[in-house]
Amino acid sequence: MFDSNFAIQSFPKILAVAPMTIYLSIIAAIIGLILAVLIAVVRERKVPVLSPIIGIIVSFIRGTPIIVQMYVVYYGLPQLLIALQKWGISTNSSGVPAIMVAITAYSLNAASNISESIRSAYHSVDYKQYEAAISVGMTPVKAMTRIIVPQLIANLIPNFSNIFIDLIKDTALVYNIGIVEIMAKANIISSVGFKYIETYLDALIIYIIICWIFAKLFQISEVIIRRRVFATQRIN
Amino acid sequence: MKVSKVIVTLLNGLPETLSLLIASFFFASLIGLGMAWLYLRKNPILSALAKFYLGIVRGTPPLLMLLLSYFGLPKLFTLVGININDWAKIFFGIVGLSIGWGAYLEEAFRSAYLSVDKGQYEAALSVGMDAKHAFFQILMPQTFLIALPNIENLLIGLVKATSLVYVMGMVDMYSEATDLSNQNQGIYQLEIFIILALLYWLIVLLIEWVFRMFHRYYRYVEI
Amino acid sequence: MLLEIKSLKKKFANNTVLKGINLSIKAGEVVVIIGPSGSGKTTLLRNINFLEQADSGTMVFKDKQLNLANLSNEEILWVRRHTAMVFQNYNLFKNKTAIENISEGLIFGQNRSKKDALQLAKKALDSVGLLDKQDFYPAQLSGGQQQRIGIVRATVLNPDIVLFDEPTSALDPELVGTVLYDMKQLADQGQTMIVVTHQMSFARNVASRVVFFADGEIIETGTPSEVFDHPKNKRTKQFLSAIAEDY
Repeated sequence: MFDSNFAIQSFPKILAVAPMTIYLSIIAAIIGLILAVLIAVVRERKVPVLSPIIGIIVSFIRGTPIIVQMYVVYYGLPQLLIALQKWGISTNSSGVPAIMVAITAYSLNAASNISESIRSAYHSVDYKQYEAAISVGMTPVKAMTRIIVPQLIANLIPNFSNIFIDLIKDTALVYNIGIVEIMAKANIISSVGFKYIETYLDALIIYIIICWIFAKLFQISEVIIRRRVFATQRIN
Repeated sequence: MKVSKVIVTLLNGLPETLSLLIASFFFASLIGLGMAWLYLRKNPILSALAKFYLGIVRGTPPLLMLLLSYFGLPKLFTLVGININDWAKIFFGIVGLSIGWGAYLEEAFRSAYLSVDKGQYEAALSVGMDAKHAFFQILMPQTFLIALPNIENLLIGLVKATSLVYVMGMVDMYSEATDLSNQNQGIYQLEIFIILALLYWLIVLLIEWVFRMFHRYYRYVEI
Repeated sequence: MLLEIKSLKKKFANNTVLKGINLSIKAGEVVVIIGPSGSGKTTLLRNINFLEQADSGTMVFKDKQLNLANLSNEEILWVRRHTAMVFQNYNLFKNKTAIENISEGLIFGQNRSKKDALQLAKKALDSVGLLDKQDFYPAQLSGGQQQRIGIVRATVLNPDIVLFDEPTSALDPELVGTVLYDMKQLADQGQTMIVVTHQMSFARNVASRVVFFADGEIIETGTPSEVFDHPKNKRTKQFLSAIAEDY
């Protein structure tokens, strides 16, 4: 029925690959955040041509399953590299490592989601704050960096936290292209004796703990940042 | 291979994708409403239960939710002597997705309910409505309107999550795509997945359009 | 007496908000309650239609004896169906149009048919000249229009008493007049009203009786000229001199 010994024995083996899950999520979140800032600036400034194109790409990425995006990158990235070779750019198209594929796909996915959150966090900062900053003689740049951005960051954290946790959960799909993280390890171990439920429960526990820890970290950082920005704590 | 052939093949999986989507969303809404109601009863045990459920689901990849439903439910049912091993796969898909999305919908409903202006309820009582009418005429419609953006996001998330039922061998649009790509031994794979992505995008755009229309209809109801 | 409240007491946590209120109101009277903010005026009003429930006290309303500490659901509903309230923030139902706001209480509070209710609502809306706004949602109306519809929503129910909770406090100054005008019309028609307000001119000109309220107690009560021109209590005098420019 349920082999609890097997579940207990498998737990440390699965836990041992958890860093891969976390590594992938963090890298994708960092690259995604950087891209997202650029996207948000382009879209908020309504840069001609670029802004609508990026808008469509963001909508496309947000409207498709991550696993499909992963395969588009998986099959598309080598072809892109070959195309670049033809244009005279030196690339190595043979054997793009799976981790590159995963990082590319997940970063783009994260970038589109984060860019939307940045924009809504930006809109939720009261415009009068900017006017007030200008009225006391700040330059527009100073007003942005000293008044708007800190408030924007405080507003962004809850959404960013959700996106990051979704990212962790979505990395459960990269076993499809051969990366060994929590889900892959659970599959590998259980395929030996067809004891799926045991290793899946192990994986469940590990995911829940990881997500819980990161959610707490974000919560704490939000409290700290709010205290620094507003000198108050949001009452939950 | 012609693009039209790819599209036709992928669309073979559409009915499965759509029935999964509609059924899961329906049951998830029921679970969400029920749990929200429990949560708001102010019974410490019941709300702790609802909180625990939400906490678990928040940290569970949807893929794992489906796998646990597919492999775990039959085991659970054998414990009480019921054999559900040969039930249709879609059943396990619907259970897995409904349990997951039920938690998120619960949160959406509850937070929307709590953000309805208390004065609206008092006004309803002051004109002589009883609690039941005040709820169904005033509180519930406003809760629904407040929750709408979240509901839209969750529905879109669910569209994307239906692609994960490949793990239990269901033949939805995504599985049609992987099958087709395997049959072709590595040719046109990129095209197949791009077309698949476009089909999902189309469904999502359609949902966004419907919600936008709905929103426009209620544009003067500012809550 | 239409309404007779005896030793009504209400506490929030450790804070006693109403310290044993006695208040009687005759049919047709317009009682205006004035006093500093936070003195418990609004709480008293909300205790009359049980949006808040008193800790102790009794009430006789339409010859029916009620124990305020122990009310049945039927009693609560009965009182609410014979009173009506106008709120400071209007509280028009945001998901209902102007006409629906008015018909809602007729349908669900008084069990009238939808057709009858809409007909009555239409007539009532017409009587204040707002019929052209019948299909507007609250968000499309000005504060003044919303509050005037709020008054119609209350009076269409033909209540024995209308409770006004600072009905003009949230309004822009130029809109206050229209609302006060509608209220005066009502008073002239003989509607029994209890009005909590800071509009001293309204109190002076329309009230049949003025009640000065402070720290959860009725300090002084009398005709407008008694309270405004010859206040007996020191605190009434202080209050009136502090707001002297207002009336």
